[in-house]
Amino acid sequence: MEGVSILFSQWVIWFGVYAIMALSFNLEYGYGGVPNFGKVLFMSLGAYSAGTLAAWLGLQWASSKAGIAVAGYTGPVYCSPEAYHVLSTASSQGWLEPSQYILLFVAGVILAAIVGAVFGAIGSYPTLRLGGDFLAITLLALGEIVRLIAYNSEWPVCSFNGLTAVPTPFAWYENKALVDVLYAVLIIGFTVLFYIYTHYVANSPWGRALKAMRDDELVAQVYGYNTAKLRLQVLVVGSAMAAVAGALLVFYAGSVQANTFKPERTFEVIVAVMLGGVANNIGVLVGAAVIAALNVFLNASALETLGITVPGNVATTLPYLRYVIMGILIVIILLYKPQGLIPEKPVQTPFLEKLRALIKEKHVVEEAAGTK
Amino acid sequence: MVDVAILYGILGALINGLRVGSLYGLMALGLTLIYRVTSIPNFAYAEYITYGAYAAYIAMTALALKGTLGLAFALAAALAVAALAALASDELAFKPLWVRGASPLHLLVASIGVGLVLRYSLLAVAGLAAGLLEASLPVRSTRLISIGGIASIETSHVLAVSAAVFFAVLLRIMFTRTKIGKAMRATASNPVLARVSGINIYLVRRVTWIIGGGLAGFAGFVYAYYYYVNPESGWLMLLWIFAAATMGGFTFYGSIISGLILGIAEQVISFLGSTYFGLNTAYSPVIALITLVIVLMYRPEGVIRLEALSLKKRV
Amino acid sequence: MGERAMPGSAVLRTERLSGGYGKMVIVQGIDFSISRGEIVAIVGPNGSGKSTFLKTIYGIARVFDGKVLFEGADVTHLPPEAKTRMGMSFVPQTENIFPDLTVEENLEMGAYIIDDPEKIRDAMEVVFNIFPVLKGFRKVLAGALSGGQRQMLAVGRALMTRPKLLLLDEPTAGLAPKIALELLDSLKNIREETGTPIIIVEQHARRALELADRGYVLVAGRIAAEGSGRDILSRPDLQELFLGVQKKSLVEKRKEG
Ligand SMILES: Nc1ncnc2c1ncn2[C@@H]1O[C@H](COP(=O)(O)OP(=O)(O)OP(=O)(O)O)[C@@H](O)[C@H]1O
Ligand SMILES: [Mg+2]
Repeated sequence: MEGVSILFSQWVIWFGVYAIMALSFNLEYGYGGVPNFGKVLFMSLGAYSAGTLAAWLGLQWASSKAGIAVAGYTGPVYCSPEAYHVLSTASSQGWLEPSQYILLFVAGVILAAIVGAVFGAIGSYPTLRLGGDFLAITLLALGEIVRLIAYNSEWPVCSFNGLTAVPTPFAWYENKALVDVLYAVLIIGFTVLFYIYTHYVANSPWGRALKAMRDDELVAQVYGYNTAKLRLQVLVVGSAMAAVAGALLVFYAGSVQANTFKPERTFEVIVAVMLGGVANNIGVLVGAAVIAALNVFLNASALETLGITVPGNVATTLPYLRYVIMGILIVIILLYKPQGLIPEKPVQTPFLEKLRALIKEKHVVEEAAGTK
Repeated sequence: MVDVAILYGILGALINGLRVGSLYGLMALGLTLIYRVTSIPNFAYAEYITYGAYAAYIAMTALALKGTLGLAFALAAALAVAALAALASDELAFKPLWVRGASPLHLLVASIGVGLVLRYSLLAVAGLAAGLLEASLPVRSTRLISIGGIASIETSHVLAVSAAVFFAVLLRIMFTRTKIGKAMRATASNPVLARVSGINIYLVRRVTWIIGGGLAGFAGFVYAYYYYVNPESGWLMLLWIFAAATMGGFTFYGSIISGLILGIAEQVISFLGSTYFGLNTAYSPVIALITLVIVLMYRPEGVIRLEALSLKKRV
Repeated sequence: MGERAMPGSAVLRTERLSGGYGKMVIVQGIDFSISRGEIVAIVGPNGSGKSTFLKTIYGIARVFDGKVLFEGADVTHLPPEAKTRMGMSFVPQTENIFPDLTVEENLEMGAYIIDDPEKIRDAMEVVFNIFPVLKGFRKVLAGALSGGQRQMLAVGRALMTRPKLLLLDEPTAGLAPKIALELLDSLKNIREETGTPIIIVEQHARRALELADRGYVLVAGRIAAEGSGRDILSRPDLQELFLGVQKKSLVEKRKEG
């Protein structure tokens, strides 16, 4: 029973990660028409910055409390075996306070967002020169460059070993089975926030400007939109979101590995958006749930937990099957539902917009009353 | 003082760069052909190479073939399987999408999907059968000339270089002199008018995929003749191949020369990097990636084109 | 009606042909015919469906209903390449050259269905005689030609097969008046020499109808009038059409009728 609960928490957590990624890709591509096939680049940068900050700062705090000196390592100090020892035993030894764990989490997420935004701005440079398939390939290649460097160099995340003892926000909590549930709740909170944000944005003047740019760049320019600035903005926002998703993944797994950020991860996000329908945020959540389910449930041990036993040779093929299914989904959706399974809805006036209008109205009335 | 061992090392890197570079160029030829005719930046292309390599390996080992005749049979198997994989991916995915008016970006996404299907089904199968996760032809590349006991020229060098040059010339002649080649260009340039001119564009398309896939199969065969193949071999080379093709402006001669430049740069830079700076040679793909990014961004029409044929303007 | 030519002698005939794009029907119920040695003009205001009609005949636009008969055979649902192989030839209004091929290669593609290189060379000489300018541009990419030169190339390409029927969609568009008249003259010559029937769509209605033996006036996707070129030209209710004025009354009349 506990296994099942862990599995479902896992699913919810991965759902959150994919949902935030997919919402951001949808903002960039679905609304803005920018095919950011380097999603994983910004996700990884968020993961690296959050992971290294939490590991480094956590190590400082924990080692000073414990009185253990961890220095003299050639690479980043948090990659040393002593660092691993200190960080992995910090909670049981009481070297780090619960408040410190939470603080590390908050700081990591904030740093990730900042780093993501900054690199999103830098990453918007190719969009000034390129569009369409060539832009997609360029961004994909940039993501691979960062992954290859991270995989082979001690900086930032301890080369191919990865950074394996990142302090997680609920590490201090005794009931380990509940930790995942807590984290799942936390990540759903983030997802809801981002959902509301993108939903709001999609129907805002900015969102309409993005769509105008997507539908016809020239027309958008004629209408006075600065499309270069719009692309910069959407990539800053989208990349900050992707970076936060990366950070949230790190604080769940307690580790960062460069190979988590292979191009396949971007493809998963693209499939999630395609499944849900381009420029359709609700649909995108459904797509993210499906991709997360494939990720979490489609392996022998998960199925075992759910009471399904699979023969050995099927078990070895299952993890690969996930990508075969994704590939087939991509082609079928493109062939039969190029706009996604749930097509884009016309701009509506959601309750938030109404609320804003109401507030504005009240404001105007009050102002009018004030001047009287 | 540069010592002699380092000079030999550089020489060896040059020679091996020639081999791997011609291989990249050879691989880029099929990608270029398919791109020129169908405008698909085909990410599934890498898998045709892998499939070709595996077909050669399986044909030889399953039938216990030996010697040159065995190699010839393996080559035939590689050509057939890769061409079939290419043809099938067009018939099942790309052609129907193109008929529906898909954009190059959609075709790119579709090719990613097709590539995932091909690569991961191979991974799944290879995981089941023993010895398939690392395969190489039983008849190995052999040394022809030894240089100072460090560097050497092997049969695989000769095969890779001559195949690359031969096929580039052949394709160039086909494209500019033969009826089918001109029909390919006509189909690419204006498909409706091509039909109006009496060209069966679907047949032309099929021929294109068979030749493009066949080239991938040939490259896969050469690859398996020297290297160990795993189900991800093609995929791992794809960015090199794309870099060669884009740097070559999607022209045949340009692809070969760019492939050579990239291959030699890879070998020489990683040799010097590891000798003088202790750099990990695993960084070398960064060379291809950076080339790809720079070319796409600043010279999307290619650096080395050697052909006046205009390409449709992208962006 | 439309059967002025002896039945059976029509090279091409359409019966109640309806065509368009996707789900959109653009031309409806067109009965049309052309016989050996005839030049038939199709005129009508912009957007009336002249191009769509030709494309429907050729199998590029979608056929919704009706029939296309070529030399008595039902070719309604044959693809364009098959129609070319049967002896038809078509110059579309737009995108009527291969911009990435040289002028010479464009002409070679026009002769794609011919295998004999001798014949191809002869046909090319004929084209160069009609459009001597093209000869100087043999090795130039067609995309680099001027608008008028492209138009010549487009027509030249269609002449390469010595077709049994020529469909020309505004072949003189963009040509200098002198060249346009020369082109029309050479079309006449082709007809005189080979008897090749020609369907020509022309913006310049008067010019087309003076040249043609017969004409059809297409308005809003339907035939509004047909007859000999002179008859149509002298019809008082069609005068506005020849002055290039959108003839609203025609549409209204059709709706009423
Ligand atoms: N490819 C297409 N898809 C959808 N609609 C089309 C297409 N081509 C033309 N149309 C529509 O069909 C109608 C008729 O167009 P068509 O080109 O046949 O007119 P036309 O008589 O040739 O005009 P013109 O004298 O301007 O050449 C127009 O309303 C046009 O918008
Ligand atoms: Mg027209």
